[in-house]
Amino acid sequence: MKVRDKNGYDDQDASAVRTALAELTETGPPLGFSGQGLLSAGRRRRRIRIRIGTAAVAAAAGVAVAVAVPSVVFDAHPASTPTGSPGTLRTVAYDWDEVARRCARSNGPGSGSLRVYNIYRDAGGVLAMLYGRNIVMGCDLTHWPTAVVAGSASGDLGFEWLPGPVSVDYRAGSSGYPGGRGRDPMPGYDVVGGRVASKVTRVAVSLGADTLTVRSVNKTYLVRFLHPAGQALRPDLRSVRIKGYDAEGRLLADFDTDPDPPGCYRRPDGTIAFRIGPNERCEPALRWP
Amino acid sequence: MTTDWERDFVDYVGARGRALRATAYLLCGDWHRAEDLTQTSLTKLYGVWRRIERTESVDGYARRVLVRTYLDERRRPWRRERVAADLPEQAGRSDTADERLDLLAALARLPRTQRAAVVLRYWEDLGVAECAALLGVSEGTVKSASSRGLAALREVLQGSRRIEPQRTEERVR
Repeated sequence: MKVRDKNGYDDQDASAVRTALAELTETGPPLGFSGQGLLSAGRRRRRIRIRIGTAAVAAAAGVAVAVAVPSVVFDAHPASTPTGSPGTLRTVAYDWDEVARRCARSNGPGSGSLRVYNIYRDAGGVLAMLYGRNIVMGCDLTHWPTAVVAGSASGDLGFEWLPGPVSVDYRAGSSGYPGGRGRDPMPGYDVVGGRVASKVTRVAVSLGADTLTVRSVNKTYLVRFLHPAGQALRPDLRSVRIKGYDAEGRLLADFDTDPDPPGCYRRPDGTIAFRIGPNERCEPALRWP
Repeated sequence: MTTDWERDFVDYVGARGRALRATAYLLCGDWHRAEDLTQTSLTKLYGVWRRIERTESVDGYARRVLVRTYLDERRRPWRRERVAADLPEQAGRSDTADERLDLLAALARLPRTQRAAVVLRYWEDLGVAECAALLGVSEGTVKSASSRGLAALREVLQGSRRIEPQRTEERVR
């Protein structure tokens, strides 16, 4: 006698379903990935996380900030334009809310609500920078609607206050991919991004002998230095020279990030928002955005 | 330079990548998305490889990541599946192709947890308790979800005469 469950199904039913499911999977296309390819992807992801984590820890040292969700009215099409940027690139009309959702998804659970603050276009593709409650993230939109996280930093840092006219929040690097195994080549890069005070309209970022200058967008800036795929990551990424200018070209900020410049900034209620180094005199922290 | 554990990881992908993708396909019904789900899961696996090798079954962990990645998509409406009245690839359908498409459509109509329960119970051969732990639901939920899922698939398989129509008098009351 057949053994049936309370719904009247027996082992034969389950076996038939099992066979049918197996047949469904028989006709799949060849595998599009390999162990070696995933190994490279995993290494790249780990390298970016380590570098971003190191930067975030360094930046967060001595910081205790009450965090609020940033809200900002941003341009319909945020875009940083590097000086001397390469030729014409594909123009895509983005739905920014969807960009934020897809980038959050790529970063995995815990990303929270994100907003796009800046977009950088160059020969390497399209890179977005997003901020959330206590997270900043780079997100590659080159193959939109695919969005791939390109490094993120999170912690107790928060983004409600600015330590001076210009902050450096996002630093990431990749050695790129030379192509092959059905994948397009991807150049290596070093990325630097952050927030600025409202009067800062232009930011120059120097990495080694290279300098890129961009306009600020939504009180943020974002630059990317490209290099050939396979080239070793730059050991000097921690040491970035930042200069911020106002609309008249006056220099408002000039510092190197290794080590982070000392300073002390107070909120209006007198509490310390940032203190890096043994500073006794504190300046007013700047609200952002 | 590739280390020993990285070589193990590459070997694992070579040995189990196809099977994981098959599970992903049964979960999502689309080979491209299945490939995405599998790669995402395997990249996450790489990040914790050395830890899980010492503490639990690699297969179990990979399966857990895969299913959770799939279930997480339900919170992202732009990735939700829509059941089309007519699936593509209908030209020149054979009986076997008909059955496959009907089966896929039946799977697509199942709610995500129900579908995952069917795949885990009847494809991955997991027990009720294991399935419940993986899905984060009670064993009762797994039993009812897999039973309802089986009922939906049974209708398709009855049509192709792989399963005999039920006779009510044989049911256990």
